[in-house]
Amino acid sequence: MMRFRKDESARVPFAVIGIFLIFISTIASINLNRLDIKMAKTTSSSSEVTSADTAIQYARADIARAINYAGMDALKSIGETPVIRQDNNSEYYGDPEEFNKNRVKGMINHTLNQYIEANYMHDAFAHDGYSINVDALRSWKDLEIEPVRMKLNRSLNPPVLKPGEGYAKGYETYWKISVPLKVHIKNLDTKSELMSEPVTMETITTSRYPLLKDLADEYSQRLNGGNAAMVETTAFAEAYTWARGYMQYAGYPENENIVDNEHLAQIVNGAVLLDQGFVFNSLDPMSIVAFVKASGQKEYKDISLEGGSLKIDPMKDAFNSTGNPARAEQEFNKVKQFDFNATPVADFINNRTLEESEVSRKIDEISKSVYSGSIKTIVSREQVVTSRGKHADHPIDRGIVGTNSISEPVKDEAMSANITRDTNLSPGVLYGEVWKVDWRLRHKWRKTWTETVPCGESTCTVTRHHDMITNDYQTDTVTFKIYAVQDSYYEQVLNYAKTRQSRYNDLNNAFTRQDVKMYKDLNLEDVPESYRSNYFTADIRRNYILQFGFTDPNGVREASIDGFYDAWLKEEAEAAVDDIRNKINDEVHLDPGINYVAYPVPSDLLNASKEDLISKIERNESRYVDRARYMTGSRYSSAGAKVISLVREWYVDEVKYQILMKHEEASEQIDNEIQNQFKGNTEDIKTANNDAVKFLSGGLKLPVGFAMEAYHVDENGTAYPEEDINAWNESVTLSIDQEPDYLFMDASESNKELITLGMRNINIFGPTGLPVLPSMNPWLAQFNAWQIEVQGKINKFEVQDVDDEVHPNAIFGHEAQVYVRKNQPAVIDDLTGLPIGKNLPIKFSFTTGTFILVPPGKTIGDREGGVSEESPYFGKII
Amino acid sequence: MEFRFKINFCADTRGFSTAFDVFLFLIMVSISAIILLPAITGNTQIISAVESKSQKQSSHVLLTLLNGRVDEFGYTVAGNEMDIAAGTLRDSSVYQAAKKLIAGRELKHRTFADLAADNAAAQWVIYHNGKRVQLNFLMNNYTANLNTTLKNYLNRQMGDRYNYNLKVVWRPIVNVPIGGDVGIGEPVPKHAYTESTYITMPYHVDFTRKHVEGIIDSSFNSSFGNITSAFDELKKAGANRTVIEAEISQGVFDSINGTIDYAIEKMVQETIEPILQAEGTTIGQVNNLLPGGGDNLSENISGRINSTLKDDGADIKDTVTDTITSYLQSVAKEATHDAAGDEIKALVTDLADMYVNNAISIEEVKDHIYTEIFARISINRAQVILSIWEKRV
Repeated sequence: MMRFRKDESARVPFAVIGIFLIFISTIASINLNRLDIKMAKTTSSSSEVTSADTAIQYARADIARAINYAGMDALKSIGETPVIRQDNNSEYYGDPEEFNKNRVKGMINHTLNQYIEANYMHDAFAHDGYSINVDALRSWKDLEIEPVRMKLNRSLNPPVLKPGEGYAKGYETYWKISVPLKVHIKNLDTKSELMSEPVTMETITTSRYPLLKDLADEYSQRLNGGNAAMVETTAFAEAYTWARGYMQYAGYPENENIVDNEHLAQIVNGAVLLDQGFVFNSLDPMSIVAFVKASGQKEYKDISLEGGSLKIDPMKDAFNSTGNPARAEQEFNKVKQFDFNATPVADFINNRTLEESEVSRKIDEISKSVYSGSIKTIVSREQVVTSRGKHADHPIDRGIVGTNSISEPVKDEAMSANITRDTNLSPGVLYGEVWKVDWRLRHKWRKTWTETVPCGESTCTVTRHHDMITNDYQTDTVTFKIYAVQDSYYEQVLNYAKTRQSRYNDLNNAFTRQDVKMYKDLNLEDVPESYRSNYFTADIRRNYILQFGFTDPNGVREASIDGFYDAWLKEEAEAAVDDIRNKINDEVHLDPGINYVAYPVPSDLLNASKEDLISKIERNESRYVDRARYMTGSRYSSAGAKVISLVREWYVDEVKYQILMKHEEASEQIDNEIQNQFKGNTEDIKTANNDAVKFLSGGLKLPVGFAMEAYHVDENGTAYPEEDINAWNESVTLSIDQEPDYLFMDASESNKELITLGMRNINIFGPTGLPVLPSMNPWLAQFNAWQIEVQGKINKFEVQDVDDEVHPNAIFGHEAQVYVRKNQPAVIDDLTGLPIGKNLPIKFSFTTGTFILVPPGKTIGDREGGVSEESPYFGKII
Repeated sequence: MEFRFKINFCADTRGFSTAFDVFLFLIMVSISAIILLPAITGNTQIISAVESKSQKQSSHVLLTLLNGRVDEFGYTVAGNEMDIAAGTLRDSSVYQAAKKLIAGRELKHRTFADLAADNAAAQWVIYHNGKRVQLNFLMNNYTANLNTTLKNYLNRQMGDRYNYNLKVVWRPIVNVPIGGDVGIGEPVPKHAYTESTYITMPYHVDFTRKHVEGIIDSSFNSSFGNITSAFDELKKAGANRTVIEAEISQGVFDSINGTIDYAIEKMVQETIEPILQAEGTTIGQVNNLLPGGGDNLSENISGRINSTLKDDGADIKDTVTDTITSYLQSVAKEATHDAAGDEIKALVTDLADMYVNNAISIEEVKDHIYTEIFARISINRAQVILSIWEKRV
């Protein structure tokens, strides 16, 4: 060895190198393998950690499914037996809404505990060396339910009262269930618990029970009161009333009664189905069959659906009900075009058959007033003293102490010749006279002086006087002028225009005779003369002159003097009115669009016709009045022209006014009658009649399973935008099963269960109807109405969700979620076996009415069996 | 000689080896290579990584099958049977419109696991005497559509790289070949990566551990009395241990049989019976559309099930559900006896050992027995197994 060390020959045996190689290889191999194994172990251990995570992930996914199963099962149960009226002693407190939610919580709690016991206890859920155990739930009260809301786009919608309008925030469609759980993770090798923590699991229950419930509730609401079914019933009944009523009006006796319960029963069934179709976009197919059979048309196998729906035409059915559909349609259209025009009113005002027609009275009134003038006399006196008596030493004037005429008043004949007329027709002199008279005036004068007289021991000064009378001589010139204060005064009161205008002093050449056509119009010419002869006699004037004090012009009598007008005036005025009436009757017609279809409430029809007629008269009013024809410049050509013009003006206004008044009164009369009969339902019924027409204008369908689109909405009912993660939509197709398929109002005693409809119709104005006579004249129309009272019950109503058949079924794979309303006096709690409340069938009642308005001249109404018709079980259905 | 050689070899300073030296060197190099080979060619890490990845992939896909939802899934059921029930009305447009709604099944937002579990729950398959008998003949379209849906999904997820096999197996009585199966994919090779878990079944038959305890308490009746007495007897009469264990094993078997009878009866009562007795929504829908048609449909289905059971050698009872119940019970008990005989005996021996040696109390003994028997009933869950393996290029 020492030599080996000391060997300097650099010779190393290969064997030594080889030993080194083996040594190094061994070390390298050991380290590489150790590293490899370590890395593999590291990988493997991370996989072990992952195993626990995976186990919990699997468990969570499965528990969510279990919650869904439990939730679906609960919803299946409450869908089949919802509690509508809760037993307040039950542990599930709250209103029915909350009560049923609490039931669901209770059932989920119970079912989930079954799943937990079977699948998540005793290390039953094991994965890769780890088990997941879950504690049993303690109380259903720990569970939470949060609704997921959606709105529906329906394939079929009504023209009014669209379903969903009352659900602005959307329908509750799904429920999200939150369940607090305590989860334990256990290592099965070491038997040690790795983790124990509370976890709240949330999942959306895939059953759409909440949607079915909301829709059934909405349907129930729509069947009751002044709601959709009432409107739809009104629509069908309206069609029957018109079709049968106008046939009767046309004189076809086969329709003795216009409205009867037999037809109403079909109508109500139709309305119930129609609204079912609108709400659910689907209805019970057997109800379609029963409905068609009830109308005596077809059997099951012969009924043909088009595109999955049965088309119905209420108007056609109504025509068919008369037994003579072609004629019924013809009469329906004929009366629809009836012209409720201005003629009755125009004729009524201008009715010559009356002892004193309105027009005649008005012509007289205007003529008398226009042919009159107000005249007065103005007197002026000029006094000139022609000589005075001498009174040289009597300077003090003690005034006139006496007068006496010393001559008769002298009329200056020349004066009258100088009178000129006022051609401007402004108040002017019509006539004048000047009178003279001499007077002797006894004029007293005085003189005074003083005297001193003894006054006791002194003297006093005394004033003395002396009077003397002298004669003065005076001449008075008295002028009389007759003035026209006002001529042709008339206060034109226009009722429609609501004006009151004084018309006077507007005659051309007043007080002067005028030639008008072939007539002579005195034009107040006789008025001044008449005044003079009454108020301007010679004695009067003499007395005026001799009695001083009449110098004040206002003191002279003013008088209104009626002039004379000839008979032609009235004839001409009446002819003018006739002319206008004829024009109105010829030219003013009701818009064809204003008819009972457009305005099914007669009062509305009359109001609409009023507006239309008045507007049409107004459009032609200036032509009817034709004022220019009676004017010369800005003045009436004569008093007669004024009379006729004023009469025309008044007549046109009065026709408008009377149309307004008569139609309004008639409308009010009808409204009052409706109000008296329908009381608080009046507005609903009127609205229903108006809305009902919209159902008759388009084709109606009874659908079987039309697909709707539901879309997710936020808490405000707003759809999420497409890009939002919450946005989704899905289809909804429903099926309905109702019992009975057809609501019968009458049946044999043994089959009472099927009698689910009560009907009463009252023909309010009997067989004749009510003449619409505002202020007793004119007879505008004949009116009748029917009050229709409906009570109904659907013994069983089941909505089925047929495109989300969520519930597992051991034979059919799955079956639909249902929501059932039926009579179930004691709903039994699945958990406790105790009764917790009642399920109730859908019941409904409403009152509506239909109206008919026919032209005057005939009566309209039911003619058989009295005014009231009541089905056998009316009042006992609900 | 040897010495000389050693001297010569050591003293040789010529700088090159002898042939013997070279020979030794080559041997040692070879040994070194052999030592290094495993380290150089070793792929423990790679294998582990690949395994881990494949396992993760399998786990991930399985998880998506549990969580992933199919927004729209549809199939049809019993259309032909409804037509038979409709008779002359089958051509009516009213019938046709409504039939589409009744026979067409639409499901929304259900997970793949739901669809598979619901399908398995409605098959009512019995493997017996080497045959597969499916009582519910209405599920063909559902199963076909489900398979297509699952295939499409799995192909999309991993079809470009992996082959797969998915099975959902529902065995309401553990290890007894009755229940339902959903299966897609190719046969599973040995090198496949398999991931498995349990999924909850739609049925939640009211069958609790307490029920099992009740059944055991009433069924377990050995010549030594109840469980407590029988195990106490082990301590008292050690010499007769074989006999006592045999009695205890028989008692456990009796309890298992009682439990199976009860569970199957309950399961049939709560699932099939109401439907075949013409209850339920579908029958109601058909009855509404075709008055009395639902009953005809139900009778038609019952008749065909009865006929199938008869062909399989079942004892025909008054009602089809009685026949199903009886047949399932008999098959289940027979299969359990065949499969679990040794397991039960071993369990009893183990328990006896522990009890005799005071390793466990009688309460723990009972608990073990309860758990063993309760665990044999698995109405509420199925097993889902996903196997994947890489495609060979």
